[in-house]
Amino acid sequence: MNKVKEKNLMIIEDDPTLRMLLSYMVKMHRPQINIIECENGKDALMNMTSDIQLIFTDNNMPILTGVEFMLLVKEDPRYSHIPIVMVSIDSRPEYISMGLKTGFSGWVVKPFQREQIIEYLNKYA
Amino acid sequence: MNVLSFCKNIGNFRRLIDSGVIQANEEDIEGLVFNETAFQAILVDNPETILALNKKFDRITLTRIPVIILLGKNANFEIIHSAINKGATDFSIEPYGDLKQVIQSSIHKLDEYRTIAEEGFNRLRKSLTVAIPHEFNTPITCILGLASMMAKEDLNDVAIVRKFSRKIVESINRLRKLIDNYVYYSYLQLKLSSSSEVTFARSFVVKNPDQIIKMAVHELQYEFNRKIQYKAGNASINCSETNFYKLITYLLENAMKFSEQGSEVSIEAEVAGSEYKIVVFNEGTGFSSEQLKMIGVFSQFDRESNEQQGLGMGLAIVLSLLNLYGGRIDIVSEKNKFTKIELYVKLADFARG
Repeated sequence: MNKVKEKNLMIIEDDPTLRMLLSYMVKMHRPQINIIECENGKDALMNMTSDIQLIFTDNNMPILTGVEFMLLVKEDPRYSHIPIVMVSIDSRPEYISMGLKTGFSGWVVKPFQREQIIEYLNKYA
Repeated sequence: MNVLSFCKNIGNFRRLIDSGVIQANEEDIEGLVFNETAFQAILVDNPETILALNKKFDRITLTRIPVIILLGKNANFEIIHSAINKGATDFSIEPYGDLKQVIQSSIHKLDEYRTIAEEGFNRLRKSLTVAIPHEFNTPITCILGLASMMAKEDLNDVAIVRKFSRKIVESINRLRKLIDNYVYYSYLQLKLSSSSEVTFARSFVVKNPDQIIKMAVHELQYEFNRKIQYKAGNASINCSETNFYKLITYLLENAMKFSEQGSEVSIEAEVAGSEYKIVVFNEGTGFSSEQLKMIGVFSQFDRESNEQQGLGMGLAIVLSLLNLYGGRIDIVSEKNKFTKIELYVKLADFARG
């Protein structure tokens, strides 16, 4: 949905207000980072490039979920190095543990604090 | 296959069923345990035995195993009807030549019902476990996140502050609408469960449905910033003003929600015989014939392929309102093309009788 120029950080979220919120949380702390906003996993796959430094993704999205997107990205050698952080309402420990084992680099439970987003931003981007 | 028989003269037709037979008496019902592996059908020759089974077991247990009643050769429609009403799954008439087939088709029929019920339950379970937490959590996350940004960040740009405030209001309204719909649906179910409440509800009359439709159209045009074509004739109809306004609002909201900005949405209403006919049309998503059969509370279709807000309560509320006022609905839809909902509400004079 965005024209991609310098791609540094990707936000995948189907709810427009939440997408805007995440985007502002990042922009406030890293105004120089370009943000690629995507509505779902399929939209994100179409905008993928290897120079993305960090991806925040929702899970419960139409067409392609966050987990499905992550598994496809981790199978692709061009993008498998990119850290992906799940931002989900799912707080079940066993689900989070499985997610982290299978490829997510971090997990943020909704509702989230901006500090949680910034922590991953500082760690990976 | 084994059958449990409460029939007195089983010896006469045992050879017809090609099954093992466990013989029992009505006195055995008290100690009876339902066990599908021990017997797959129950044969009775007396409707009173079915009543005794009904008394001992709950309805869900009784749907697990078919109860077949064997009737004498003089059985007429009334006798058959009475046996089915008492809970028989099927019947066979002397000399019971079709008994084996009746048993097998009854087992098959109950299996089919069970599969349909399980599919419906699984859809509901998915909706309750996925859609409801998502729908409540998303606006809460937006409100908390935006409010905390406003509290913690140094926001000098008034435009951003206004944008965040607007989004907080939008999220609160989204949450409020979810709760309102849920409360309203529950209120309607409560009304529908009492015959005196239904009678009382049906004593209300709307004398200006055309004006109410006009008002709802104007409100929704403003809310969705879209044009709605409308044409409404007047009549006195069997409904309350508040509920008629809600009925029209839910129908139009649904039409707007499942169609693209710029595509056609229209409402037309006129007297048709003893009814007031309301037709709402929209281009867009539409329903498949399978989905039309599954419309109900918490039924929101194609969540996997479309981002949709809400819990899918709109049409369930419309159906409840129609039940309350004795109206009817006809939905014609073609997937990804259009949906046309025809609603028929009784004219006040005809409703009174």
